[in-house]
Amino acid sequence: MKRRSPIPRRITEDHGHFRDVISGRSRKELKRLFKTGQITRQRGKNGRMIINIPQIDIPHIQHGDNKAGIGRGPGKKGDVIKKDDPDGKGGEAGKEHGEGISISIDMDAVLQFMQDELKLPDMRPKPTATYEDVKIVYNDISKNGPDSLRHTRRTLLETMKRMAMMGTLDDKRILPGNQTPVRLITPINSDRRYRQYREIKIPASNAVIFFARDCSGSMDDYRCDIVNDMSWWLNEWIRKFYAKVDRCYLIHDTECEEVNEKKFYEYRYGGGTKISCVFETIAAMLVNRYPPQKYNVYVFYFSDGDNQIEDNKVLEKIINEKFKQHDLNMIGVTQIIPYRYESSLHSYLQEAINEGRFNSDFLRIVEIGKDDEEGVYFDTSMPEEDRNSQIMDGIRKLLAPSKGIKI
Amino acid sequence: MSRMMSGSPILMGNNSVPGVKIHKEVRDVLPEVFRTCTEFGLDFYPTIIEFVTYDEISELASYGGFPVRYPHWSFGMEYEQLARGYEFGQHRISEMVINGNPCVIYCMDSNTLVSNINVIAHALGHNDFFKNNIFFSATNRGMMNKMANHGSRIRKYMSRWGKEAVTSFIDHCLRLDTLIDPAMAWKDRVIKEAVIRDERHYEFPDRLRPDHSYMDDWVNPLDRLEHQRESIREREAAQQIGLLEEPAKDIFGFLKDHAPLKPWQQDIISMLYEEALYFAPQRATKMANEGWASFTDFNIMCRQGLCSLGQKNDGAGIVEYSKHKMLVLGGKYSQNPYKVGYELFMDIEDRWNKGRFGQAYEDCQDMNEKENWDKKLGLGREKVFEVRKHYNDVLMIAEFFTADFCEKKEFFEYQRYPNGEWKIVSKDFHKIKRKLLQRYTNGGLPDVRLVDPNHRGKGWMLLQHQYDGLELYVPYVNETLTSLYRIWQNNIVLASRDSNNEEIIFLCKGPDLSSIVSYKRSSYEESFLT
Repeated sequence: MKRRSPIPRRITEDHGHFRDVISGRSRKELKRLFKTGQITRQRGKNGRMIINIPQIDIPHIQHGDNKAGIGRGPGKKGDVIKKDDPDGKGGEAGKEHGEGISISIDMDAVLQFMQDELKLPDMRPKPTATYEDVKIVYNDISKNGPDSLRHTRRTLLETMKRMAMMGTLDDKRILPGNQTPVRLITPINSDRRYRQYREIKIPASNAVIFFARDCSGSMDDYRCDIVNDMSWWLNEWIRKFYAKVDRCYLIHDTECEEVNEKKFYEYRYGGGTKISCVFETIAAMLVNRYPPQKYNVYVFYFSDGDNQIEDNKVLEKIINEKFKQHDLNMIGVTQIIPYRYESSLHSYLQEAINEGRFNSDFLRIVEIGKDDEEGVYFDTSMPEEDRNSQIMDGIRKLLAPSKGIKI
Repeated sequence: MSRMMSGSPILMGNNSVPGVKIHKEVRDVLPEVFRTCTEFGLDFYPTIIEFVTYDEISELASYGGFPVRYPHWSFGMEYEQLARGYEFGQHRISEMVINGNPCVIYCMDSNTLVSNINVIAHALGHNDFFKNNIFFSATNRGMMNKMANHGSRIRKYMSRWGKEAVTSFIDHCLRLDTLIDPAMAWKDRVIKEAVIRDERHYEFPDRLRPDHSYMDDWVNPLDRLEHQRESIREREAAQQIGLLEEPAKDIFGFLKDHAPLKPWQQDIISMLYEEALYFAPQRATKMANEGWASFTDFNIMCRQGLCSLGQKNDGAGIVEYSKHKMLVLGGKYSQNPYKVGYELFMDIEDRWNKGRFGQAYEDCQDMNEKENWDKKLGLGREKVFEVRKHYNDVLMIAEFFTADFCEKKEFFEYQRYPNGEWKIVSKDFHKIKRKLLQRYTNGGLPDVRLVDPNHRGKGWMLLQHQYDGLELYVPYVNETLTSLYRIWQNNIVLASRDSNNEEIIFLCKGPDLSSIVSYKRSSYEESFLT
């Protein structure tokens, strides 16, 4: 709130205190958003995230809203005077005081919360042989150099050492124009010292994230929404740890295509599915553009899990042959509300992991749309809380700490 | 100036009071306004008028009119709401009146001249109400100084015990400040000195003296004596452990005197108690007070014609006045305390002018005659002044909300149905009146009473909600009970009823929300057996 009058007023202090209370509440609210997974619906902007916290009130012992009262106006018994909003919010409006207060929170704080709530580890860039950056630091001494870099103190020290060894340090001489004899320290060429630079090599901390998704006809708006939410948070999290993060967006049906971010989220295309083609493209890109020796590579793939059974085997072959030896950081495969549970991508990969054909730290598989009681949700009528909490779980599973492998 | 002094002494906002500024155009018409108000019959305290900006009036309003109060974030919260509401154009506070002697009126400087005259007339109505209404007779008229004292004392405690500790204690107290008995304002406040006395006062049953000793068994029957001895024993036992004789409404006051608190906490709670008592009559007379002030400004502006004061031509201000009035009272079918109070006063004046009261009028069966009933008594003016002197909201509704009034003003009772529709359920006068009375009784808050501060002999506090068809709002009740626990430092039990009219008992065993258990009556009793 802007203060109009220049005179400091009493309310300024109380208002400031109120804002403090609010920011305390905002941390609480953020915690709740993470717990329930509602945070997945939010987006930060310009490094800040705006969250709405409910209006606070001093509670008293008071009556509940029994949804009845006295009104005025024309009309007879049985007339409808108003209707609730179709959103169903109208009925509860009795206890909602105002629309709440919007608070903007630093994105760093939000990610810190993410770390605390999801117990995510700090990511370690892998030590690579290549160096991205060479920094020059003047922290060495040499015997040769330009006069502008002369190290006077060291030069005089060397001179005194030499003279002490020769026993001439205490000799006094009368300089012309002076009556009293003085000690004289005179450097010769071999005493001179110069500042010298050194090269410091900084290991590369580049990362590249591949976001790939199925764009066959079966990926509808609801599934794309989940892809959108998950990839935003994965991106935010990984970006926290690297100086430079490249993102590649890929979509595929039976053929793979690289697209920009906007298209990735909005593109719809009916078609068949061949998952292996996208992994082939990524493998090619790793050779040509993002050599894994120089980059930390993260691959996230989203699909509804519908694939040909033969293609699954091709996929396994590609991952085994082209990815493992390059030492990727991780591959995350997310299956969103499959149409068929049996012989889906998830079940195939799960089986492969169980049989030891994949390392479960390297290849992480997540399934969204699983219902505790009934197996799976086959349509997109997932309850909102389930959706949010499963996304949160998925993110945790994709980024969770592991023993064998660095992520 | 001399004309102004003819009424009450008036301390007008001018340079003699430092820091007070007033519009010149308003200053020129002020004597006329005061004279008209005095002629109308208003009897008010000396008045200070101050013009402030919206920002300052928001600040004043958030402090309840006292800019010298103790520091607390809840005032900051009020300020945020008020200032933001003004900036977004949702509402505006046009005036603020402080009950005191002298009475302070804050006006918004951005109002037009007509609005300001209206506001001043309205505020003088409030001032008159504060001075004359019987429910304000016990309030402290020097509350501004008192509040300033409280503020400095609380600041002192904050610097000594830490702002956090004091603020959180105030937080807990503020949740309880509706649990008071407004009648306590009339009770003599004496500072009790601790008296240590080690003697016992014996009480004996009253005996009648018979003429002959053999009559004794007849005039003083044994069971009567036994009954008296029993009640004496109970009374003595109660005195020994400080029990109450009957359920007390003044829970906050009881905590002030008996809760195991540190001296600074006791001091803070007594200050907050006093402030709560000060604000209590304003809650109980909101409708009457606002109605009276609106009735006053209508009389001054329209009937006495002050609308055109300071305007170029006659009647020029009436549109502006109507606009202002519209904002306050709302539309034809709006329902707010300002409007109900105003219409009741108008109705009372009309009825007593025409003599539409008393047995003869009630018994009249001829609709035609009743319709045109006019005895030309002209008692209306006298009656409204009487009403403003002796009535509060509940009494006013109880006495003057008649079936005629209800029908004429088209009141109805509505209810929400599960399908999301809000329907008119009845236009029955008795039901509507009952609902209205319910709303204004006890300021619309639940009547919670302290039954026993030594419940089950364990020092638990037993509270009873006097259920009247409206259930409690459980989340807030839980929060309040935890605060009570923190101050009483022992378990709190609150008995109430739920919407099915079954007894429900809240038991608070600790200072956080997780320690509240709610029982059905029978299972509560059982929980002590196991």
